[in-house]
Amino acid sequence: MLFNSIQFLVFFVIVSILFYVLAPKYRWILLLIASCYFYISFIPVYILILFFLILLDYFAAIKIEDEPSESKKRLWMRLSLLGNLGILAVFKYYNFLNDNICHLFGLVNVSNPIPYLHIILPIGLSFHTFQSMSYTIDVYKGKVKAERHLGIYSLFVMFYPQLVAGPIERATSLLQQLKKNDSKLEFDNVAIGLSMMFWGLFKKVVVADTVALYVNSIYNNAGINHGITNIVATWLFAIQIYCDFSGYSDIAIGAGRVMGYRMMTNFSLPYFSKSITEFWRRWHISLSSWLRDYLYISFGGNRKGKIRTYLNLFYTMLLGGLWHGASWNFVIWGALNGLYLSVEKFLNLNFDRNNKPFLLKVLYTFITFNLICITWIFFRADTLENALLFIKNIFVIKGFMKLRIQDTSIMSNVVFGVVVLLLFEYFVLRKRSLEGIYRKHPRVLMAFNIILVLFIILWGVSEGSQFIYFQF
Amino acid sequence: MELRKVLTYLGIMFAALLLLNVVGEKFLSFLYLKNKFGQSGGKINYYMKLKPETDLLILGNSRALYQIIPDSFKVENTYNLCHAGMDDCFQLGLLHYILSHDKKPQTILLQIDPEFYSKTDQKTAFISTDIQHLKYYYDKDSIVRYHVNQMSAYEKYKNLIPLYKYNGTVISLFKNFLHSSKVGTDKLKGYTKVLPTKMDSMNTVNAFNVNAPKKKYVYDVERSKYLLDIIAVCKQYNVQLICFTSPHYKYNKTYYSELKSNLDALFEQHHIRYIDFDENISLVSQIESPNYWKDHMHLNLRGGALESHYLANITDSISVIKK
Repeated sequence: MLFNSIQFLVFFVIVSILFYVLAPKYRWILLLIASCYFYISFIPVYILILFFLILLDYFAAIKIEDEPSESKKRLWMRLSLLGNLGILAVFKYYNFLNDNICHLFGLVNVSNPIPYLHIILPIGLSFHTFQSMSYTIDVYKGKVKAERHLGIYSLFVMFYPQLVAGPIERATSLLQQLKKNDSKLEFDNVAIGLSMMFWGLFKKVVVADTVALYVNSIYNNAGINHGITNIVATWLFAIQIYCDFSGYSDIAIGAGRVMGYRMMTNFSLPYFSKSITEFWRRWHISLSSWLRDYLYISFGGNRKGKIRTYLNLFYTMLLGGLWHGASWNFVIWGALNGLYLSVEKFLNLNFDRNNKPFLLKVLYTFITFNLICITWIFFRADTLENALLFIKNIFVIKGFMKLRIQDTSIMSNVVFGVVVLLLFEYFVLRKRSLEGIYRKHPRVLMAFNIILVLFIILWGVSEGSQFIYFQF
Repeated sequence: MELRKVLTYLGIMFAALLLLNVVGEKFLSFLYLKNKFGQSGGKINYYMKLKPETDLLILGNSRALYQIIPDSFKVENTYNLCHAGMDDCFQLGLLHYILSHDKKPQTILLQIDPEFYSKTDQKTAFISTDIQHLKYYYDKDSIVRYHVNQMSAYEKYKNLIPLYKYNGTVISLFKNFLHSSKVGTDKLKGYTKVLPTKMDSMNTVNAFNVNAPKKKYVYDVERSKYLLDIIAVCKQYNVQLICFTSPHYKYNKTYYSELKSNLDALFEQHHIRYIDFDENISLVSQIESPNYWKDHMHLNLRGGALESHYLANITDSISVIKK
């Protein structure tokens, strides 16, 4: 069930109404059933994997808390991590590893005896395993108490708005809210939540899905496009992936907010960043903070000297790349980001650039955006060969400035969506969040919602295409 | 208190949207009906108002829109109503709308792409989505409505929203409205001219190298359902149908043999004349050079003129168009 479908609209309305009709003590049951229904609407059988991980982490956390001996606590924590990473390894990385072994065997003319697994990656696996792992690690570190109510814990992992593509919530926040569960119907929550949902939907169906029509036509013909066409397609892909993913996050956060739950901000205008370091503080915040807290700091962070700091940054982003997908493209994507961060730290370029003259800030923003765009080429291209061919073709001089438009109607819709997005983000959201607008001008926000719905009707791609991050 | 505030808020939003839908629909409908150009309904409007009636109507996608020049035909009243990127289902809906609204040409020249009838990796039954580009006619044509509803269970609900029929076309409507106000008649009779450029040869060779078929196409009988319906509609309205396939750059028969033999059999069974330009040796020898192509699938004006000439000669020689 996609957020951009009528099926979800009906589901959301029914669940939200029932949520407020029911007595608070029964709400977790409603939300758990709704979340199960939401998940099985994709591929039903994979809910069993989710149940397995829930049970594993639920009991492991209790054991960690109850065991007096440190070594046994550690053993249970490792068991939990092994379970989560094991499931990830089998479903996400097994075939990738096997392909590479196969390739190596092929070099010495030996056939690979290891069978290929014909499985589909369970939807949102990387998201909920990371959420579960952070829970057991936090229990181990004593940051949070083990949840004894299996239903509430299951709901923490399965809470439908953020189940398949985040934000990756922490037990310290969402689990406590689910336990408390005393939210009353509040007009503010409904108005702000709906605005976030409309804005997210606008970003997804008006901007991302329209831009995708152009980007796909260029990237799917990597060999025949070149010069400025490839550059524009990559800029537009940057917009597409941002609107697709942040649109999902906005809808998720908005859907939770309507019921009174507050989830963490996942995107904070990342393309206005003036350095790569700043970009990663604004892009997929729930993942980048997860990587910082559970990987970078565990590697030693910046406590073990400069060289180790650079290496830790690099390794963290490399693993972050692998988190996204099992292919060399994602490894390179992560490595490039790691390299950028390390070099920026080495050259001490990650200083505060906000106090610089306007034109210099524009220049920093432009450079940062384009550096990130280079990494997006590897993210978007189907294969490593296509990514390299795509980059090579950017430098074809003959006809460099000839932009392939493909379809003027689609291009005009692309320009419309991107211009509305950038103007609104630059002139409004940069200064005040949707909640801030509501607090100051509630009627303006209502008019804004109406305009967004009209835009969605008139410009939204209505085929209900899948969100890019569902594959992770 | 809070509940009342929420309901009032939602009520006001709903009422405002309803009002804007009604007003917006009236305004966009006005623009739409004034459109005479473009794929967002303008060409269809123009054709529906065309006098005298058309003798020969050309239907198909970009491989006919950019390639078949109506003025090449001896028949005076020829019109190119092709829409780029549109498959057989779109052509079926458009054809049915035209014929059921008393705009009956004597002969229809339908361009078909053989690749369309090949099996894909898709596991579920093939449902075309190109028909959505005719959603303006959802309430006006039963075939369009039927096929739009096939796309998903929710289409009928989406189409309850008056403004939805202009989804994705608003900017084009404005642009074509302004263009139509400036230019009164379509001198090219629906045809879109693709002038040769210096990049054509390079683009064609590159596109061919990347996209040339790598394995044999396998015929999928399921995908001929729209073509069979087109044949049935033409029979129902007593309109002569001729089908043709535009040439491919460096056509290799091996890959297409199964597709083409099945299409030949289908047309023979229904007594439909089928012109396959991939098999027309005279034309193929003339357009061998990439200079005649825009890319590996489309001829430029130079190549299009040749194809049109051959097509006109064949249709004239078989006397399909009754004077």
